[in-house]
This record gives sequence, C-alpha cells and structure tokens, in this order.
Amino acid sequence: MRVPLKYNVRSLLQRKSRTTLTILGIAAVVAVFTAMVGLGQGMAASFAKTGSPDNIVVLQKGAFSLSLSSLSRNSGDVIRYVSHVRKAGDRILASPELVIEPWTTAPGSDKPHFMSARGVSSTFFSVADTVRTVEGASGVGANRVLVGLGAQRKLGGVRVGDTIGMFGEPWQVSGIFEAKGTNLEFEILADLDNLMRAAKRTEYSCYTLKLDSPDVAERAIALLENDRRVLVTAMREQDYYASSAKVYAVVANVGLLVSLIVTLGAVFGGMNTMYTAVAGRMREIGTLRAIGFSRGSILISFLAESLLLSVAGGVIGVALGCFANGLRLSVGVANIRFVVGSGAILGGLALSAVVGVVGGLLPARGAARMTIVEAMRRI
Amino acid sequence: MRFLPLILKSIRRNRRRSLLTIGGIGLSVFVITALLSVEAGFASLFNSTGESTLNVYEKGLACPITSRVFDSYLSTITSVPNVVGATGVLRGLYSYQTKDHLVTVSGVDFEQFRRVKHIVVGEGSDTDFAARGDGALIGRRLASDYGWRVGQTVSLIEDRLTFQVAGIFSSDDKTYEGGVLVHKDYLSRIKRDEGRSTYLIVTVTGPSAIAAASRTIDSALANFPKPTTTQSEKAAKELELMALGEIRQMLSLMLIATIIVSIFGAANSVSMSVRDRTREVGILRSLGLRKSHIMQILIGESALVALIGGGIGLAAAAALLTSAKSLGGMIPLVLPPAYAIAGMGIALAIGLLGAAVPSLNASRLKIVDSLRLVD
Repeated sequence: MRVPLKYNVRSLLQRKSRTTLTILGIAAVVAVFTAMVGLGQGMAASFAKTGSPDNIVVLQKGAFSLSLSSLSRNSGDVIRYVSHVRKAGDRILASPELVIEPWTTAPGSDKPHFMSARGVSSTFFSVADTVRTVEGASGVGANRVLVGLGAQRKLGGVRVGDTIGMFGEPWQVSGIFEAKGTNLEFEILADLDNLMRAAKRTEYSCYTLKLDSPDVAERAIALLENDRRVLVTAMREQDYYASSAKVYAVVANVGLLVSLIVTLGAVFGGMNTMYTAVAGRMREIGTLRAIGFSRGSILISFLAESLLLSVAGGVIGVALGCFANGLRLSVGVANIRFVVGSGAILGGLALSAVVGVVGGLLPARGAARMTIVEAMRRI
Repeated sequence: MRFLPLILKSIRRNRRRSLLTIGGIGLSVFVITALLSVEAGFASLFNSTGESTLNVYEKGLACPITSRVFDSYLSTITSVPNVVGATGVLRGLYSYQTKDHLVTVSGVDFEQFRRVKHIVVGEGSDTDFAARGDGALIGRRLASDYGWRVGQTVSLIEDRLTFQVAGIFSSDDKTYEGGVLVHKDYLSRIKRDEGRSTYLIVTVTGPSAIAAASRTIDSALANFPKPTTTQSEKAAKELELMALGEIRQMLSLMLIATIIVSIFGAANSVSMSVRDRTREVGILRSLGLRKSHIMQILIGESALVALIGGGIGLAAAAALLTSAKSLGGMIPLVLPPAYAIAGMGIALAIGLLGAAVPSLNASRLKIVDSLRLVD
C-alpha cells in the first residue's frame, strides 16, 4: 500500500500558522506532563533509596513520623541490647537520634527556613553508611553542624564556615555531606546532646539499629515490638521512608492529573485541526483516490499527518520539559528535585503520539470513507 | 449586537468545530477554576482566625504539630493583664486506612474550648459527646470526605486510636472543620502525653491587646523548662502554611500553563474558522460592511464560543467542588463568586486574545484577494 507521505508534509508546511499553533499547543501540554512525571520520579528517587537494607528504625508506638515520636533515654537500655544488632569492636551499632524541625536562618537574611535537624552521636556515622562528607570536617561538635547537599541548597547555598541560626543559637557549618541523593541530604546533622539542650528536649525521637544482616530484620522487629518494657514500633528503614513518601506523592499525582485533563484539551485542538485539514482538502483527496490511492492509504496518510503534528509538538514539549530537570520544589522539609529522565521523556513522547492518534482517527476515517465522486464535487 | 444572528449562524454551521472549541475551553476553565478554588481554600484558612486570639507554641519549631507546651502554663497565662481565657489543645497526626489519608485529631477540654472557638453541632449532639469518654465530634468537611456518620466507630492506624462519632460540627474557624475533636484526657492517655498540649489558645480583650499580651506571656514563661513563642492566631497559621512550601507556587505555575495552552487552542480554532470564511468575508465587505464590522463578527463569534465553553467548565467545576468539598480533609474547596467571575473572565480573555490576530488579518485582506482565494 502506497502512502502519499510527501503530500502530507507539504500540506502541513502550506498552512504554517495553523501548523505552528497546533504544535505549540501540544508542546505546552507535553512540557507540563513531562515535568510532572519528572517530579514524581524525583520523589520516588529521594525516598525509595533512603535507608540501608540492614538498618531498622525504632520509634514510639503509634507515632506518625520520626519528628512526632519520643523515646525516653532509658528505653535505650532495652533497644540497644536486642539480639542481632551488629557490633564494631566494643561498640554496639545502635544510634539514638533526635529528629526535630526548627526554623532555621541562613547568613545574610532573617527569613526562616523550614528545615529538618537530626541530633546524632558518633555511632550514627557507622550506622548511616551512606553519609559521606564532601567538604570541610566530618563529624559534629559543640554548636558545629554538618549540612546535607539538599539542605545546603534550601538554605541558599551556605558554605563551610558560615553560621546558621536554630533555636536562637548560632551554629557553625563545619562540613557538607552527601548521602547518595537520599532524603537524608535534606537534613542538618548536629551533636545529639547539644541539639537536645538547645531544643529543650529531654527525650530521643528514635533509634537506628544496624543489624548483622538484612535477613534478621523481621526477627529483631518482632523482639522489640513484643518487649513489654518499652512501647515501640520498629520497621525497616526503607519501609519507613517508603511510607512517608506516600504523603508527598499526593502532590505529584495531583500535578499529573491536572496535566492529563489539560491534555484532553489538546486532543480537542488536534482534532479540530485535522477536521479542518480534511474539510479543506476534499478535492485533493478525491484526486488522490482517482489516481489510484486506496481508502486505506488515505486513512493512514491523514493519521500520519496528525501523528507528525503531535509528535513534532511532543518533541518540542519534551525539550521544554527537560528544562525542568534539576529544578527543586520545597514541600515541607523535603526539597524535591525534578528528575526528567528517560522515563519522563518517553512518557511525554508517548502521550503526544496518543494525542495524535486519538485526535486524527475520526477525521482520517471521515476522509477515507468518502466516495470519489462526492469528494470531487465538494468545494 | 446586530450581527448576533450572523454570529450564531456561523457557530451552528460548523457545529463540530464549535463543539470541539467549546470542549477545549470548557476543560481549561474547569481546570483553572478548580485550581483557583484550591487557592481560595488556602486563603479561607487564614481568614477564619479569631481577631483577638493568640496561640502559644514551643519556641523555635517550624513544624507546629511537633510542639509541646505544659498545661501548667495556663495558670501563669491567665494572670497576664487583658487575658480573658486560655485552653490547651493536644494535636495528633493520624491516618485513616492508608498512610496518605491524613486525619488531624485535636484533644480539647470542650467546655473551655467552646469559649474560645465557635462550634455548632449539626447532626448528633454535644451532650452525647460530653457523656462518652471516647466520643468525638467530626468537622463537617472531614465527615463528608470520609463519609463518617453519627454513631459510627472509627479506628485510625496509629495507636489504633478509636472513637465514637457523637456529632458533626461546623465552625467559623475553617481549620477545625477538617479535623476531629476528642476529649483531651482521652487523647493524652493514648498518646502517653499527659499534662502537655501542642499549643495553647489564649483570648484577650481585643485586637489591640495582642502585641503586649504576647510579649508578657513569652517573658513570663522564659525561664520555664520550655520557652514559648506567642503570636496572633493569624500569624501562627501563616507560618503553618509556609511549612507546605512551594505547593502554592506550583499551583500558580500550572494555572499559567493551562491558560497558555487554552490560548493556543482558541487562537488555532478561530484562525481556522476565519480562514475557511475568507471568501465570505470578501462578500460581506463587497456588500458594504466595514473592516470594523468584520472584526466585530469574528471576535464576537470567538468570544461567544469561549463564554459558552467557560460556562460549561464552570458548571462542571462547581459540581465537582460541591461534591468533593475538600482536599484530603485539610484544604476546604470553595468557589467564591469572585473566582467564578474570574473564571469567566479568563474564558473571555482566551476568546478575545485568540481571535485578535487572525481577525485583524482577515479584515485587512483586500476584497479582490479574498474573493479569489481558494483553499
């Protein structure tokens, strides 16, 4: 079956303003869609990777999140000595932590930022093995903090040696750390006792335990939850972050839904363009049929024209959407990066193809169904 | 106006195109109105705060729900000049069925709480609530979101917090309408958090007393185990919403993107309809119509189509908003008349802007050229 593709391309070029407007309309929706998929992937990436498979977190029974959990200091006597916790020499790899969300000021501005701070002891750095200092000193000390890469960006790019404000006290940034792009990078790490004193807290938020292997996690969790001396919930670190990601995922899903509704508008626009294209070219269609092109050829040729329009829009849209890559959106303490990767790009292109097929199918069918005589007679 | 019959005729003549354009603009207005309404919901949370009400939170914390202050502060606070009353609220964040269905539970001393917040119990009764230790009053918005009825027993995920729905309430403070009220001693027993509140609500004699009373309270409590931040309720809520971060900015960006997409669509459709009728324009011109008349006809057609689409979109949005009522119980969805007018205004603007260039081009065409043109 021959398809007069060259004819379709030339027809598109003939009507420049209409073609341009249709392409731009589709490009705009595809750009928004691509960016939203990117936001969703960024969220998935920041939360899913957070946590090591052999770590479990222990928090107050019934607490919604780490910052809403409180464990008394002496609960550590039970939690630290549960079976299967890994030991490094004499040290038990059980890290007591205070997770708190202070208003934080960066140098040169009074604007408070919503940040998450974690008070940690030296054990933390053996338990949270993804943390690596990229600049400055490692470790925390008296009013000296480590700032994660994400937190650094949120605080307007603070540098080593700068002073930030939390709980009305000055804290010197002694280093910047990365944590393989995980949620931890949104945090500020401070010395546990230091932060507890500044925040006037007397209780820990949670314990993070490093186990002998990922396989014993279930057993350790059961031992902790059934221990009558403490009232705690324990879960794999990865499960904890995956479930808290759900709350954030709502934002990306709403964005995606809105962009899909707007896409339906673009389908209407594309359909409009194709109907007009068919209506204006009745005699041409008749001529094509008369010189031997079959109904199938006509159908495919107009469908191809519609696809060409929409995919051209899709390519531009995806290119625009790529500009969103690396942008950041602050939601609560998190600062989520748009990751416009292959998934978002393919998704955007696929969406534009769907717009083309759905928008072009009915007009193309109309063109193919016409009899030659009918088509030639139209003006 | 005298061209209205002509405009209507041309809209009807290409029914399919008009319908598609109306559909496209309708969808845009639907999305725009829905987004505007979320924005209005945010705004209504600020505007429903008490004018002479203060909130006392733990000092320095960004996330208000993590704050804890002692109930024993209440006696210090009531002795501050100009303070009329004070009560503590213990807040808990819970989820219903799945982790993304959030429920804010406030434990209150109901007798005291009623004096600072206006609570109207619709279905059910407040005496039932007072009589049951595990009774609960459900905010109007939350009740309709999750379909909770009076008499029902509800169990939440964390702590397996369980309560009996004793009534559905509305309040002029819209934040509470998205949550649950339970007895404070019941919640503090379950949370093992006795003698403490998340924040204290303090009423003073009038708006002018707010600043002085806030300072006095903070300095009176400065040497207690947990220092406090006292501010007007409005300022406290603004900070609370700041914690939501840039979600609002994202909404406005999507709003702008939607409007741009619609303008492209409308411009495209109008330019096609103008192009189709180039010969017609030539005939009208040769009959003696002026360029300005042609502009009126073409722009009028586009504006009318846009308004019809806008009306349909608005109606659909209003239907959705009244059935959904709120976003996850947190943000009320309302459609103030001003926003409905804004939605129609945006539709009209889309129609006018889209039609401007193509109609200008059509009206400028020479009569001879337009009559000769074959598409």
